Amino acid sequence: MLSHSATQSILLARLADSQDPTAWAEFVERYADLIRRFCHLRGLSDADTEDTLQDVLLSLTKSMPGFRYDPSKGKFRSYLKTVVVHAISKKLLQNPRHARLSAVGSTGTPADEADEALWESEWRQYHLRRALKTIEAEFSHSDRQAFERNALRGEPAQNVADALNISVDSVYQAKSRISRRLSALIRQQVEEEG
Amino acid sequence: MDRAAHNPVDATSSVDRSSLGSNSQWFLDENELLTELRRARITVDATPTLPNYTGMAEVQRGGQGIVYSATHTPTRRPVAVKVLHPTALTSHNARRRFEREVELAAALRHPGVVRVYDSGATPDGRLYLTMEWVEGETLDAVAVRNNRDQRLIADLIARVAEALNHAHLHAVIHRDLKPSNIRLSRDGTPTILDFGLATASTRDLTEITATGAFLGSLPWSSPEQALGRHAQIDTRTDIYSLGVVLHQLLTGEFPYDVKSDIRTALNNIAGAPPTPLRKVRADIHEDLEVITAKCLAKEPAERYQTAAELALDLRRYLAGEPIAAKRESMWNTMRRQAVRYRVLAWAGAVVLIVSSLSLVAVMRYADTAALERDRAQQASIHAENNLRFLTQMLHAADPEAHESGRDVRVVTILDRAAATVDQDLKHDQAALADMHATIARAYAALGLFPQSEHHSRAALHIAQNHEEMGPDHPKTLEYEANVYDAMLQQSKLQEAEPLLRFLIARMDTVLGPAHKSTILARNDLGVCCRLLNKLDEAESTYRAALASAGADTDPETILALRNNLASLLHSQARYAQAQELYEQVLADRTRVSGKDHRETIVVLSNLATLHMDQGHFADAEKPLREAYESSVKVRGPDHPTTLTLQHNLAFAVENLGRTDDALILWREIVERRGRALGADHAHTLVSMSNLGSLLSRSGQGEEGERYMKQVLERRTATLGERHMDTIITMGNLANVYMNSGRPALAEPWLRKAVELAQPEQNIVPEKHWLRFAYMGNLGRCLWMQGRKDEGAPLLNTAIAELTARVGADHPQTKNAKNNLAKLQAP
Repeated sequence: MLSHSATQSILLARLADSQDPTAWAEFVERYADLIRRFCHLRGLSDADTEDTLQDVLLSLTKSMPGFRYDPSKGKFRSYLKTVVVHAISKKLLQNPRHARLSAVGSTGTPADEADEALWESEWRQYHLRRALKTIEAEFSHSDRQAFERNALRGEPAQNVADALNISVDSVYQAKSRISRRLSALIRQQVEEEG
Repeated sequence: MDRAAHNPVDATSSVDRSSLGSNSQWFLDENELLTELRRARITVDATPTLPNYTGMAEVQRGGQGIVYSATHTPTRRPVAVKVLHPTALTSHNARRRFEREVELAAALRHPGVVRVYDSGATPDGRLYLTMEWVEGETLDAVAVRNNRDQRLIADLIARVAEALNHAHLHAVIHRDLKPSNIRLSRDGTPTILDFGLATASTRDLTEITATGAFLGSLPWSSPEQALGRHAQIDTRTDIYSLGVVLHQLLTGEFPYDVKSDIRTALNNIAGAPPTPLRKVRADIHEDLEVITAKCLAKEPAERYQTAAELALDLRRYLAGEPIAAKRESMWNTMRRQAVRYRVLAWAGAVVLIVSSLSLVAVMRYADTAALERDRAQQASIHAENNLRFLTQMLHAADPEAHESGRDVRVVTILDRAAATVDQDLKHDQAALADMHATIARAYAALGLFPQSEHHSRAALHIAQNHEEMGPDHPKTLEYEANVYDAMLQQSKLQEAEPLLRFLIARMDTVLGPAHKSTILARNDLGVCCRLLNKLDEAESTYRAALASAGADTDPETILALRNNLASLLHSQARYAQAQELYEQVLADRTRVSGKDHRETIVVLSNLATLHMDQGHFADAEKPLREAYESSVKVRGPDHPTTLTLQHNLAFAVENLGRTDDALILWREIVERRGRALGADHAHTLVSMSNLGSLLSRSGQGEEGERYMKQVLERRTATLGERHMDTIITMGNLANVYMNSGRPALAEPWLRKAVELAQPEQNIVPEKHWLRFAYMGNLGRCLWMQGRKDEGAPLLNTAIAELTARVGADHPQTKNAKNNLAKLQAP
């Protein structure tokens, strides 16, 4: 081990499974953003967010050998939420003045419902972003632009077709193909995670 | 839905969440999917549309972001637009930090530094930067295309260093230098890209790991980056990275393994010695090897302190002139107020060559690695204190200095202060001088001595010409002393010596010899003389300083002086006097700092070494044990310093004949060092070598042989055959074979060792007794195989040479004679 004076920021690297550093890196990359966003939404400062992220990752590595989740524990989504909420509560108890939103509450109180809604929202976004990475690789610039402008921003299909020099039909096709692919990807993701 | 700030994670944006069902199949319905996408304001096609830029086309994708080529519409200029990946920290703070970085980078004007034009945020909230479009090849492509020609590479890197220096002088640290970040522009100028981004996206290792960006840059990151020591990251961090680049361009490899896994990489960066260049490519010029090694020093204070110095040395190499790096190495092994682990000159019998020379290596490594790291850490705390002080001062003067401590780099604050201070304080020259002196002290605490000297001179100049002060005013004299101190730190020894003498003479008159400044100046002179090898003068200077110290001189100063004097005497083998002083220092140090304190540990260790130098192992054991036990408490059992002390303790115990105890200790050390530093680490190998040797000598030859073979194999792999440590290991392995009665196996190793130890090979110094010791062993080896007529002459020659060179009483000589006697006995 490096000496006792090693700072906490490399603690996670030390925990890294030296047999499979890529697995670790992917694991962290996947969830770090989600956890951070949630912390920010709950009103934590940058520094406290980082601390909380480390706490969560640490506890995950302890409870998830090989970074595989045991599905008999229930859905991973809920499990992760519990871990994160718990870590945030701990942090807030340490530094009450950092909380901007009313935060800590026991089960059944409004705070818990707000948490749940927040988490669901962030969770969906996390899945979308993840799936979109694949979309970016699989679909052409033109398809993606078409989807963006027509399906998301609501620009009329004819305008989009003209601007991109493609047929109106292609615009609609882009929309349906990308939507279907997104659905399939997210379904797969959700199944995999447990 | 309220569109609040750009910031998608702003807690005050009122996102309508009540419509979120607990529909766990939300993604199966196209409409819900699209709604969710819109709600999250995620873009599917990432190419942003920016005002004033057209034709955005993706060119490259990296860990930090995506680079597009584009045209700046108003000027029709081709530009590169780098859009950073969204990070969760798109908070207000991070934005401001980014903008400040860009501001600094945009102010850089140098042909070797990419021009930064503009920055901002895309409509979907990602940060971007526009830069000059630099088309050309990256440095590694150029190097390969030119067969890694060393002169070409040296020239390119020199120019990069000059460009880097420009950036440093303008308070910009790059932090992410690597070959892919350096391209040749159309006219062949190597241009550094990507300034101003390191802070925005790579704050510390957790975030870094998460974004994947740093993992890509891990091979070029410095020890201080790898260890997460943010306060220590400064211009010298860039110099380290440039050293890695230099090594890489010349050899196509990294200086150590940084590719297999994170932990190994971090450990190597933090502690493993870099592979010497000439081990990989024999045709590389020695000067280039030295230059690169200096860039790669673990401690920032031991690298080139400015990129300009690096450039200069490279140019000296190209011009065939002597480089500064070699001259300085002596200074780097001793510093002001230094208390050092001592190099052990004692060597045991031939069979004990292992242990003694291993100890030498250990001491040498302990010198640079463990001890310096501790002191650097203390210096870093010191620097933070100075910074806080300065920041408070500046805050009063500059209401825009928002953040303090870690968020604003020290160099930035200091350089800003330095730039405006002449203007701000021009009406109060005395305060201005004081400010320059404070800034000088801050630079000194950070190890930036050229800048420190510059400001000390500024303070001095003002004070000398001040109406109410003048050249002999106490404050002026103090400023003057600071100038010379900074010169000493830059090894300007010959210049500094006469100046110091003159200063001391005036200080004696004006301040009196007992004044703290006078005593400190004398200390500096003493150190200066010692480094110039004027040992007698060094001694008389130290003694004069001690003699003038009074009751009110602070204990730290006295301790420092006594330390330096003791160390000097020790190096001259004046053991009795040195011992007396060390004991005094130890008593005082214990009183001042307590038993479990780093400085106390160092003195204990020095005292122990003193005893071991004289072969008095019984006397060495007690202080060593104390030092070791303290170190366990203060630093922990796995700290490199603790391990070194344990190693030395094992050595002492072994020499006291307590084989079983020693074996237990050696095993423990090998295991701990293996875990803490890695099995290939130089220190680990030293301990392993000792273990192997002792095992072989105490009847456990098989195990001993295994360890020794391991050490030899690893040293050959990492250092190459043509290295003193490897040769020693060959000799050790031969000993192991001879001890177990297999001289035939020992013979080839001894022959090789003798051959490599010849003066023509330039590995072992001409004066060293090593080759004769091995010659004697070879003689003995042949004799043992019944080839007395071949062996005897060798052994006799060896004895004769050893007697002539190191004397009849030297352990090596005695040992050789003993061997002869045993072989001749009936």
